[in-house]
Amino acid sequence: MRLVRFELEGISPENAVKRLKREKIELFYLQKPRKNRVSFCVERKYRKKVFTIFSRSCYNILEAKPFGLYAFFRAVLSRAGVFVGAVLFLALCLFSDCFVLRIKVEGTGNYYGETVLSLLEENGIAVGRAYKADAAEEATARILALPDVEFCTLKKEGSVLCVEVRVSPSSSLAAAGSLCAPAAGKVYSLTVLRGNALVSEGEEVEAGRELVSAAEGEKIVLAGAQILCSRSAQGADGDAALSLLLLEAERLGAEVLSSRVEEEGGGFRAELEYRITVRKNI
Amino acid sequence: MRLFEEIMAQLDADGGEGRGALYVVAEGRGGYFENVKDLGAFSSQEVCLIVKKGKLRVCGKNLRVDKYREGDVLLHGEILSVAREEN
Repeated sequence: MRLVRFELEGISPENAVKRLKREKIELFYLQKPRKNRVSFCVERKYRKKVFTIFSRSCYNILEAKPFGLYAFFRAVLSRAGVFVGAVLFLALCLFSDCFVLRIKVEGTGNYYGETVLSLLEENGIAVGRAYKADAAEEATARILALPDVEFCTLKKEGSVLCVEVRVSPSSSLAAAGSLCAPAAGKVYSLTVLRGNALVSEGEEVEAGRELVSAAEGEKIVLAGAQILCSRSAQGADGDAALSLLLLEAERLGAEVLSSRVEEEGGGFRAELEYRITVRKNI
Repeated sequence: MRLFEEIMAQLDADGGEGRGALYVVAEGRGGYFENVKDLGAFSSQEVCLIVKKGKLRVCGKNLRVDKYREGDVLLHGEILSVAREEN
């Protein structure tokens, strides 16, 4: 049954109810929220009749917003496109979440990346395929069986499968020795997970200077550093001088921060600032 | 209402309109009234039903007339008392 709700205001609204009864209009959800106001519902087919009854009376009548299941369905139908779109989007999200669209191999054992991917594929886990928890457990066991792997976990984040592989720090694959400065410059940052720091941030270091050494009784260093370098070169051709500096920076795998070419004493002076990142076993 | 017909049959009485008001109250939920001639003053605490032989004053909490048609009234809310008043 389709209902419409009205709110009627006036002196003695009970009389208005009597009037509706006289007209044999069935009333539903009749309430009196205030002394001079009543709210009620009638069947939709009586809508016009109600307005006609009270059109020339001392009552103020207005049709309230639709309510109930009918109102809900009407709202849904009037925005059918949005509703269908939302449902499709949710369905697509749920559907795509069941699949693996990307695999990331992280952790200290990420050099096993290719091996890990092939082991996953052998167990039925690959990009574009559905993710199976049983297969993941089996693949984890196989990854853990790889040399020096001491921890492995598979975590699904949406449609991305994150594989974290950690190897033992004393792994035979880890390089022994200290972390040294590849070029002269200023220590910009220093991260030491294992070993003893021999310099501090902001300190000037020479090329080859030991930055982090292995702790007593150990051979392995887990550390990283960034060295800030400033270089200059002079020549008759400014661009050629700058190119020489850029070549050196490229050889060191540095990140160029700034460059400048100026005239000086009949020639040119090129200046270059770059940052080198070095890591040992991390 | 079929329930009323059965009750009236048990009471060996006529359940027609000529026999005055009939009602049933469901504790804490509301009540159903038949043979109501008119609806008097009403609020959420009190509803006055005009019946053939007087009035029925229904008192309660959160009262609401859920249905009012052809002498039938369905009251929703907690009915605390139904008192009969003679004309």
